[in-house]
Amino acid sequence: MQANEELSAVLRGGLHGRFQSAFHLLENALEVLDDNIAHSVTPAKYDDLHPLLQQVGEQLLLLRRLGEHAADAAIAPVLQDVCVPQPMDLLEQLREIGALFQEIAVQQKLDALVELCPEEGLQSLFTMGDPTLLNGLLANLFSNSLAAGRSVHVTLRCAPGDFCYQDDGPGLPQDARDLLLGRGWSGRLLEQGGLGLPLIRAYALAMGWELRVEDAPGMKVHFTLPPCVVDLDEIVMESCAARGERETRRRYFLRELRPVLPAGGEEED
Amino acid sequence: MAPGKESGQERSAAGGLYVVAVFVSGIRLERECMRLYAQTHSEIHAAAILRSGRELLEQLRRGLHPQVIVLDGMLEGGVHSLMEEIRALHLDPEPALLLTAPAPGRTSAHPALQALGNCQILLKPYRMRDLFDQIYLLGAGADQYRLYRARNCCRRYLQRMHADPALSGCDYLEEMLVCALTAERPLPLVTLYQFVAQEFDTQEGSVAAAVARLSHKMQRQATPLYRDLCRRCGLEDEAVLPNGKLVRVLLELLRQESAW
Repeated sequence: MQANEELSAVLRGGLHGRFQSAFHLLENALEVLDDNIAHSVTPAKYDDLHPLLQQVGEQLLLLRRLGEHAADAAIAPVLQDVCVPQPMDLLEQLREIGALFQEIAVQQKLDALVELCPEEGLQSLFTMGDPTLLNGLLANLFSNSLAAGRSVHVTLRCAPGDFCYQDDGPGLPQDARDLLLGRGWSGRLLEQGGLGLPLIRAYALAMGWELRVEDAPGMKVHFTLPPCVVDLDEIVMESCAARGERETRRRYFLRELRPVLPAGGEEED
Repeated sequence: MAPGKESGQERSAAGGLYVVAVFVSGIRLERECMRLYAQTHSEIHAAAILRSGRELLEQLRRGLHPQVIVLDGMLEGGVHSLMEEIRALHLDPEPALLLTAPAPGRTSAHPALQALGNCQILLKPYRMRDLFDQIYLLGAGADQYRLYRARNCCRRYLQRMHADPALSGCDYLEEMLVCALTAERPLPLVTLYQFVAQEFDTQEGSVAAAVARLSHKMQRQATPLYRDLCRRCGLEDEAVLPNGKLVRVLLELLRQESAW
């Protein structure tokens, strides 16, 4: 019994999970209201009311995103204590994420390109990590790259022990660079109110990755990857596709990138 | 319609077979959502919406016999022993169990999900329509589920064309489309009228007239979808789709969307 209660607590997902749960209930309630209205009023009246419900839904989505970010930021100092990095093939993860991002760019009519550039001959890149934290890390990096509002070319480079994210945007101002490296907030960034940069750092550290920012055109962030020491005979590597998480990942990216997507793009299903 | 062992063969208000389900959740908002959504989706008959496992066991012992039991995986007291107690009742036929649970926020939480056992799990967040789709699939089986999906598709198209659901033409048209979809060979329009007339205990002429009235009313709404259907049939945007063309073009759309 006690073991089951502990597992339930884990599944509840802490502060982040509480936010998710609350928003899930609200989103369902909105769906039910929309459905009931559709069945109760004339089609013309429904057409009149539906945009309002859609707007409420949009705001709820933004609020959910902000809530989840705030929850993760609140426990950032201890995130590495609650996360248990697992062996993963980073190159395989990046292939899927890169492909997903490219699909989203096409569907949402973004002028964006993601290019994966593994070191020559590199077929796989095993390290310690967590796919959900990796999603968060890359979603926030992509969001930063897209926030400049212009065409963007992102390059993901991998070599043993190193992963590098680079874009061809305007680059990180000094205060943003300082925030990413854990040196504190400037007044300007406090007013902007975004949590993306501290979260990139928090997710990386939670996986045992170190990060540094390199001087370069655009934004260039290196992650030093921890070695992955496992007995390959005992490990079972599940591909994300086999676990059916690709769609979950796609929805996550759509939600995370929503503030920087152009208006009028394809709606999430 | 009273639920019972044969209730799986009963028809919902919308015409298709319905599934009897019981919902158990400790969250009031969740229970309200299920109650209200079930009111407008009669293919799922919510026989009871309960707060706890204890209430569920009491109801099951008193004779409540659903086809599907939807359990919140985070119910107070845990669901493992509850599922064992349900199985120990040896209900015949045994109801399908559908657990809802939060998607693990971290990979390290996956074992917690696996500990819920070998049963159907629907991860949160989900949409209500996905929940009800899953319930119908579990309760009615794959073949009926395809029909259910086709009906829902049909209703969405009619809604988009601002069809007044109070018009009998909507029900007749839906039945004609379902009949055409499931037929082994293409059926002439008059056969579809005959089938629907028999189903609704009315005259073929009444069916034809009701569908024609529906088409006229949708034409006056001038929705983009209705105009698109006219163009697909080689008619002007402002035309009124004759019954045969309306059935044919909607059937094409249904086949595409439901991969029939």
